[in-house]
Amino acid sequence: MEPAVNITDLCVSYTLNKKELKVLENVNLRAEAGRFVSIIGPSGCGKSTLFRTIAGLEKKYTGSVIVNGCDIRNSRPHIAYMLQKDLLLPWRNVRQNIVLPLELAGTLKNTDADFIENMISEFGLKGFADAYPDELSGGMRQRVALLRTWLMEGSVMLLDEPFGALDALTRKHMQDWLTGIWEKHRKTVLFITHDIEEAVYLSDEVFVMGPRPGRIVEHINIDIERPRKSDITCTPLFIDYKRRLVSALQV
Amino acid sequence: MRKFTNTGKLSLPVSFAAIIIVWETLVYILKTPNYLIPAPSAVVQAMIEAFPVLMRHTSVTLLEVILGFASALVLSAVISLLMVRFSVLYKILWPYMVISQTIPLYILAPLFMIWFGFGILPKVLIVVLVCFFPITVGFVQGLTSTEPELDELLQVMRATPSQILWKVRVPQAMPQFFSGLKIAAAYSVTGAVLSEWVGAQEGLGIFLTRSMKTFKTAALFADIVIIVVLSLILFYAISLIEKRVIRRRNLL
Ligand SMILES: Nc1ncnc2c1ncn2[C@@H]1O[C@H](COP(=O)(O)OP(=O)(O)OP(=O)(O)O)[C@@H](O)[C@H]1O
Ligand SMILES: [Mg+2]
Repeated sequence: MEPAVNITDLCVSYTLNKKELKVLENVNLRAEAGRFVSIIGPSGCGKSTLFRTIAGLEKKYTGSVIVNGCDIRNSRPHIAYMLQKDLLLPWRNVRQNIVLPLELAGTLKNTDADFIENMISEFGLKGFADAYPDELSGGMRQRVALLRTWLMEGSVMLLDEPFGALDALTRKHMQDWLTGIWEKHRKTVLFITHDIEEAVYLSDEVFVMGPRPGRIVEHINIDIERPRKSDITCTPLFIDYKRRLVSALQV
Repeated sequence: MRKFTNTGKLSLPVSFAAIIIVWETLVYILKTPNYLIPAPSAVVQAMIEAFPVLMRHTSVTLLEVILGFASALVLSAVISLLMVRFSVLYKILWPYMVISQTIPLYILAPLFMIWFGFGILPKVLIVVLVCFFPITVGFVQGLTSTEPELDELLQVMRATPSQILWKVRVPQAMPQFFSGLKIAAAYSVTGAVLSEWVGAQEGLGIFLTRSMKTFKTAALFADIVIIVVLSLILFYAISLIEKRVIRRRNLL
């Protein structure tokens, strides 16, 4: 079967003060459809740049990026992208924020109102649909941004550190919740994180990136069966995966 | 905390009353002649005496202000939107707008009178000129201050330029748009009065010059009070509309 995302020899560089700054160097990455794939790496190694390129926002690159069999140079990919910032519109309430992608695509009128309400409760936002972003906690805001991404057209979801700004407890809670919802829907997800435990817990496979210029230094399949419950984090298998990621990150 | 908010609310009326009392007492003790500095009580008396005349003048000025402000509002909104949509227009128009602000009003006012006569038109035009700039600056700034990441997200969602304008840029610009409106409202009355100075039959500016020439300083102060009150009413009317339009307080 065709991989959902297939990246070969991707190089991206920026010019900073007239000097060329290599951000990504020969990145090779394959993600099969329906897999949860994490990308972990130190800050500034080019993870967000990788996503921006896949989303078609970064035009100056060499190498090839194929999304669902189409080279993104020839046609803009349909991709659901959640940026590092939540970017909620403060003048819109939760429901209005969530339906923005449908509204822009012109499909909101044909969308079943019950479907939206069901998604709102599935994402744990029941009772908050009429609240405004400034009335929500950090975790709630991330749920809203995630649901908005969920409703974007596109078979591949790019999530750039969705839980990066949350406190440890909320973060754990959100991880449990995301595993549950992902195991139910099985979308193709590319997920950026700084957090080793988060990467192992959520993913089917993990790509490890090295410091600048960013490249893939390790690829590990996480063969832990699903559904996963939060107590697996203490099993020897889980700890072994963590150890392998730690040593890969130290290279 | 409660205590502080309460004193905050009272601070304006208390300080205002204090100033009036001190002023009145000083004038009384020093026996300052009324044509130099009239006591507050003399100002009130002058206002009561001249009330019908003052109101006639006020209505003329108010009409100029409202016509000028409304025209400036429509003009600014249209031109701002066009400039943001077509950046060529911005590059062409912006320098002229800045230049228009550097020409002193007291030179433009007599010029406008020469071109457009002694009627209401030149006064309205001055008010338009005074209001146009702050409204446009505020609106354009609001329209163009999108986070770059939000622009990228909209691009990924394949939003059309007009969707970006109406669904994101315009609502996002509202706080700055209203800031501009409030500045314009505060200046608009002064603009109208200034244009009347140069030549008019009626208006607060004319009443002002007449009081000045006849050394009716108390009447002059009464006129100033009305100018201030008028400006304040306009300012707070805009604030009130702002609160209805922008329901959420911390918008940015
Ligand atoms: N537009 C740009 N111009 C110049 N340099 C840039 C630009 N965007 C990013 N960079 C640089 O490219 C490098 C990679 O940035 P990127 O945002 O992809 O890193 P990241 O891995 O997502 O980091 P973090 O984990 O902190 O989010 C950084 O060193 C950054 O300074
Ligand atoms: Mg990043």
